[in-house]
Amino acid sequence: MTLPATARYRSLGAWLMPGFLALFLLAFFFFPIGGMLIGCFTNDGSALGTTSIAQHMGHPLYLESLTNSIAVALSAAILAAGFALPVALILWRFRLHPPLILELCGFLPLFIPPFMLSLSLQSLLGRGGALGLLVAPIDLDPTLWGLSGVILIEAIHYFPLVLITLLLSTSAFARQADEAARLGNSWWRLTTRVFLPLGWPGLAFGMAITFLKTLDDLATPLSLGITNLLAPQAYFRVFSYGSQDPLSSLMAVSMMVISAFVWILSIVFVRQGSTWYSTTMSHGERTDGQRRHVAFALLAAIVLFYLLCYSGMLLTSVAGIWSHSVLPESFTFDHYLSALETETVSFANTLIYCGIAAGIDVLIGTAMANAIRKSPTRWGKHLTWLAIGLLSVPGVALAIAYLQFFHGMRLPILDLPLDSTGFLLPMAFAIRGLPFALRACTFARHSLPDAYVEAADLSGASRTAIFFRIVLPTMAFGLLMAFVISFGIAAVDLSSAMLLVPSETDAPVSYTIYLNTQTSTGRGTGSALAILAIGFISVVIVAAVALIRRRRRPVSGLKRALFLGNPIR
Amino acid sequence: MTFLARLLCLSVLCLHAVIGYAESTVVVASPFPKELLSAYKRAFDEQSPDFRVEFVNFPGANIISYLRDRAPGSRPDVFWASSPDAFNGLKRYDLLLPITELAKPEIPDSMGKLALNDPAGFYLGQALAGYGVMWNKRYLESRNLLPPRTWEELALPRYFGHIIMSSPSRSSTTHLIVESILQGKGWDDGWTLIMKIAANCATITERTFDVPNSITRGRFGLGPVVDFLALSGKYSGFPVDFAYASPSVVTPASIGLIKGTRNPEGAKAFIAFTLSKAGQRLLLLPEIGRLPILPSLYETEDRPADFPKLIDITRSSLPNYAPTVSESRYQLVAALFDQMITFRHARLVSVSKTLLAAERRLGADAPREAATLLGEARTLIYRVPVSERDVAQVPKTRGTRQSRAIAVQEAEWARQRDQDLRTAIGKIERATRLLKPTP
Repeated sequence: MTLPATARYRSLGAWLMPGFLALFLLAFFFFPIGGMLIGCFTNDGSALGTTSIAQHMGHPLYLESLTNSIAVALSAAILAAGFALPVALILWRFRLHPPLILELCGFLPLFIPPFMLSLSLQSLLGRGGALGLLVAPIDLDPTLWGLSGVILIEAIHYFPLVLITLLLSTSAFARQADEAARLGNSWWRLTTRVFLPLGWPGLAFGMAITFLKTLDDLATPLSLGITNLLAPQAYFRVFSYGSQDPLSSLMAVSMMVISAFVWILSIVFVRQGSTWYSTTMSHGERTDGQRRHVAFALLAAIVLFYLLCYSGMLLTSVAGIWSHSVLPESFTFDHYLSALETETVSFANTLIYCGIAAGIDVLIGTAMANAIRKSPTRWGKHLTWLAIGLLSVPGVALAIAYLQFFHGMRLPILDLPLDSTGFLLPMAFAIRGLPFALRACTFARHSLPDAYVEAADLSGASRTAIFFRIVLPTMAFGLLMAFVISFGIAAVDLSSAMLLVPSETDAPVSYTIYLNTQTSTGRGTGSALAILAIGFISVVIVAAVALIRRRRRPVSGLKRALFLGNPIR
Repeated sequence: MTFLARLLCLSVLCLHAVIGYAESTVVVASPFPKELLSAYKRAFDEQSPDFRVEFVNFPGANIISYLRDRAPGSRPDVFWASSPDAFNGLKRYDLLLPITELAKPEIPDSMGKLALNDPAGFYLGQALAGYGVMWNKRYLESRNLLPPRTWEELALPRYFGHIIMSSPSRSSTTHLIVESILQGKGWDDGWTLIMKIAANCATITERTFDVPNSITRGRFGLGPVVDFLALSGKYSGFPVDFAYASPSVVTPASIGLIKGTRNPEGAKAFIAFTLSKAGQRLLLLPEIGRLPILPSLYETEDRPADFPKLIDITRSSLPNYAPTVSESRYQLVAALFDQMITFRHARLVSVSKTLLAAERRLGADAPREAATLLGEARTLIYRVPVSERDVAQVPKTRGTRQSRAIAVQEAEWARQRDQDLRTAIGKIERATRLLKPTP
């Protein structure tokens, strides 16, 4: 039986997207990662075997970096959870849901690289000025804290994220809990019986993200002079001995294995927490004045603490001469001018790289969401886990795999080597952002009822009309969110950028900030750039708040888009 | 259909633009700071209508492995750096093209004993670079410290925790300083001195620029740097100063054309620009503070006050510094430094601290055995477990095989180093127990 022409055309179209999707994943994920794994298990004579890997595993430095990395990432996750639990409990106890804008700020750690906090604290607490000089005989310089410095900085950085995930997962039964308490249940009982079980999924998710991001973080340990961790070691070795270095592959593979393990563990926890209860508490719900004040004071204290932490960077960005004095001797806006004058290209690069990556993510995310929706449940689940599993691939590992796999390959027509163009960077970003984008796209796909499309189809509307009149308008918000999230995550992905950036003029803004804070005459320009970048993100957040307010379906959409462990079906 | 045709036209146009762009771009690999590179980019792009320049920020220490890793046609066009070892290596591995025709008659081939241009014309001197110690005046004054004049003085206990330096595996400047100490004092004594200085360091930084950066900011007191990084801070108004330390070495910062360049014309235009009077004058900008190689510029009126004199710079050169020796063991010295110092820095500092504390308690009437134990511990802490000859014998193959060989070697060094530090701690503890009765 032959199909009519239109049906054939349609079936071709139906195969096009999945084909593109499969090709993309094969070329930019499975082949490079597989190649690296095979390389790892290859002996000197290029035969498969474990002699070489066993030899390198005994390297004292490898063992030390491995244990340090696990210890640092684990401690950072536990510490962030330790900070977040009491705060979340108090807010839950007082039934205060933070205002939407603060809630969105909770996701900021995903969009700001943590090394900025490290640099700011160095200005603030270092021997050279500000608080560090005020308390002079006591030496607070973060460089001297060793591994605990990395732990503390990562924990402070990811605390808002853990807090917000906890709040989102516990907020459902706050009022009922309050009423139960009035009926005479002790708060201790409510905490252990209601708050903690409700909070598990959120906590597990927040802690897993903190763990994965800390493990993968390259710039923060380097800015503190810490080298005995897997990511910096692998980075050093790639630069000293080239991408084919066996020890750096081993380190990259180890990071992947640890990440995957932690990720699976967290999924078990998230799923044990069964479903997410949809938020029943509306924003700014009234509680008694006294308790509200306490809760608000707590939130204000947290905001102030973060402002203080970043004040070092703000001061540096306006400081003229600032050398071994509590405050700068002179103030200037020159750093901002020079940042705008010479570094605008890095903003443009960020737009290009991250825009391409986010575009790819939206395309692939939509295709995947569509496939998940249309396929049998089991397959859909597998596809979801596959995409989410991408999250557990550390940026450093992915970048090393790319450098090895695409080594010596050239772009057709232009005849340029692949790794000296910016081509690989958006691909790595796209892979890294895909799990997040998929969530948002699934959410977007969810908001499009199949019945509408079928009805339009039956009444004879053309595919283009259906697409532009029905599909796009209903999905626009979700897709926009997918784009913004994927863009933001790519923009701060320093771990892959530091290895894949082809030239300084081609660097995205996060890497330019990193480079600019390392000039010989102070960190002014870098700090100014960082402040500009944070300003830009704030504008995006305010815009997002406005947009969400207009849609009046605030938290659930955001929440459902961001929590990856819970497949939306 | 017309839409498709238009799209096709547009993409062809775009492609054409991109190809044209690739042809007009000169890619320069250089470890120099952003201020310097941006100044040259602005000036060169302005005066040359046909070409524009782009920079790859590259630690000079890694250029050889980077270029050998890539096929001709996929390499940057120009390499521009201070490290003579890197240029020697590039020449040895046949990675440079001769550029004799670009040499300027106003620039001499040598100053005193110092050869400025490669005799075979594979690279040309572009600026002068001397090495020494930079310090923050306020930081030292507030702690009643005097600035050091020699590398040995940096190893004195009074500077403990106040020094900052980088690693030779990441910074070609530091590599040169380390190598000049090794050649000036001999392998074993040189390493001992380097380890003592490193034990005085608060931290070992990832990049060269973090050293001057932390000093201008007053976070740390002093550190070994190349002159221009200190001078640019000084001329920008920071309370920092700099002195050439002895034994010191002066080297020309050179520029060369990489073999396998995609854009030889543009690359040559850029090299010629850096050697021209306009290009040389850029070096005098306060935020750059480099020493030009064009002798006439040392007489101009607009150079910064107390700019170093040419005669002082060339006089301080180490008489028998051999770039070939340095180049032959380049990666190994860097790897050894990382295994002995960078990756063991926290432990090195804490062991040194304990040793210093124990030695301070060592009075004239202390038991002889305690003094002997501490002496032995000192030797163990500051010794390098490999001889110069052993290092020369590490196989020099290429690619994966070599990095495998080095990785195996490194593991051995690291184990030996851990063993040494453990033994040293044991000895110090025994000595402290012996010292205990005397208050």
